[in-house]
Amino acid sequence: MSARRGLVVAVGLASLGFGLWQLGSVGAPVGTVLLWLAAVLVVHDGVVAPLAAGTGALAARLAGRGPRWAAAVPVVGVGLAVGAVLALVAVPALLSPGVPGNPTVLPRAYLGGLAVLLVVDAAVTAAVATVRAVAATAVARRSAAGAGS
Amino acid sequence: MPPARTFPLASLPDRLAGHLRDRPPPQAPHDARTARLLGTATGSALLLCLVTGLISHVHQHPPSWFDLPSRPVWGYQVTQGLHVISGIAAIPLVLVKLWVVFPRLFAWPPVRGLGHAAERALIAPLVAGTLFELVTGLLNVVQWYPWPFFFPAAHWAVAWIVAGAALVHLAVKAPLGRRPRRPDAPAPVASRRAVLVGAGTAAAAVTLATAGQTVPGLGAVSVLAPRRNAGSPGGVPVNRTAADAGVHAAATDPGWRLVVAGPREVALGAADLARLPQYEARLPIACVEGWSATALWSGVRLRDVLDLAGVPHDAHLRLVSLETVGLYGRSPMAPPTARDPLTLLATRLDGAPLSLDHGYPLRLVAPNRPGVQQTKWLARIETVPA
Repeated sequence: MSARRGLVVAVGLASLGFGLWQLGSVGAPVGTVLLWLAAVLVVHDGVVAPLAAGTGALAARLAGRGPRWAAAVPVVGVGLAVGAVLALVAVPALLSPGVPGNPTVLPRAYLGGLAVLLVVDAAVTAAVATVRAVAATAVARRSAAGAGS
Repeated sequence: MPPARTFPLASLPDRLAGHLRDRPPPQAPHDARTARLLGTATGSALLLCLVTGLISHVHQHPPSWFDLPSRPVWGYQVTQGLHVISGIAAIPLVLVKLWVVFPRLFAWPPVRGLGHAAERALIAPLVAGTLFELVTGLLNVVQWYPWPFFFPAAHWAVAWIVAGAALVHLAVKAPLGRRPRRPDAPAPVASRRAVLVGAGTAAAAVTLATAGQTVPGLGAVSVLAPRRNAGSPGGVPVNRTAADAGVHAAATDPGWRLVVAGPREVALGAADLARLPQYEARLPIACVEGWSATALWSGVRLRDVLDLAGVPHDAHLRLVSLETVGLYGRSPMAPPTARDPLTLLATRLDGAPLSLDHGYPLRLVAPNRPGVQQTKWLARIETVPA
């Protein structure tokens, strides 16, 4: 390990140690923060990541079905990812109890807003995927015709 | 006629079993260069988040050896707006990055020596800490605290854990993406282009959907923004209402006075304040939760009031609210802000008298200052040792 890399590791470990030490002054037992740290990790590695990995594997399989699929499937994958992330970011606004007596906190209709975003996402995804699939079919047909002549 | 295809999901158990039976591949099916590019994007967003977070921390815990400048006027508005924007944009970047490298979690053999073991051990605090920061930050933005700890303190402590684990991760991993791809490595699940386009589009989408709470002109597009200036009283959202603060009686008491404790202590009522020179300033209220609203405030200059009480120019101040419960009933102020001609003790917002929720009868509005320190329902201004 080079000296420079060793220095980066040392600074990193110092920062890590400082953070752990600062956990002692969060106004509650350290265990409560550790519990939340563990919980977000378990939810990600146990639910979010397997779902994403499964969707990715499925997409890869579908993309292998032919040029049309190979052109459209990645677009659908991107559309799904965008929709999922938008929904994820909307969850706190949708589920938060809000602040009673203060209508300026969370003043919007978040369910309706999310619905509009998802419809736009789906429409753009469908349009781009269709255009790409049609183009890929045309290319495949042309090269097939070229090979036949 | 082509043979009937089996539904891919139906063969999943077989494939899983086959995967477990066969020896796992020497390199998990991910592309190191994609992982590195995503890591750079994620790291940049998180670094911006860390730096702007540190700036906010210094604002709220001013060190004794450094007085924060009162300019630029929009300083905190921009840095804290960026803190929340970069944090929200980091959500898709982090998730896509983790998606790409997730198979590495099951790499075989799990440990290839002491250094590798240490590097893998630090992945847990890195990932857990990053997710913790994003989740708690997002919940704080909607003022939802389903935990027993104090949010700013925990967010601060875990930021150092993430920064430290990320530095070690970087030191170990930085040269990896430059290694040529092994010819026997399995093809990645998705093309690099699709992965990067997906991460970028998702980051752009969540940014547009939320940034309107501080970026002018995006209000109509940001349908997921937790705050909206349009429709708020005076065009400025409220963080703490007069009812929450329990100040209704004290703030509407005709006997209210602002006490300025200095060499010549003065107690100023509404009529006294009205006789002082009046000033106007367009200043933002910029909240730690990432929203901001710029409005026209009018009232008297803090420096004029300080001069009445003979407060020295280099004095550090404490501004005390009528609000006696909660953490933000008082705020510290360094001389640059105290003497800034734009720093107002405001009695009016956009020409109309302050509403109770906006701090009637008198509130502080100063440039480059977090919203929680724009103390409302002012009762007392005193000097403190630097």
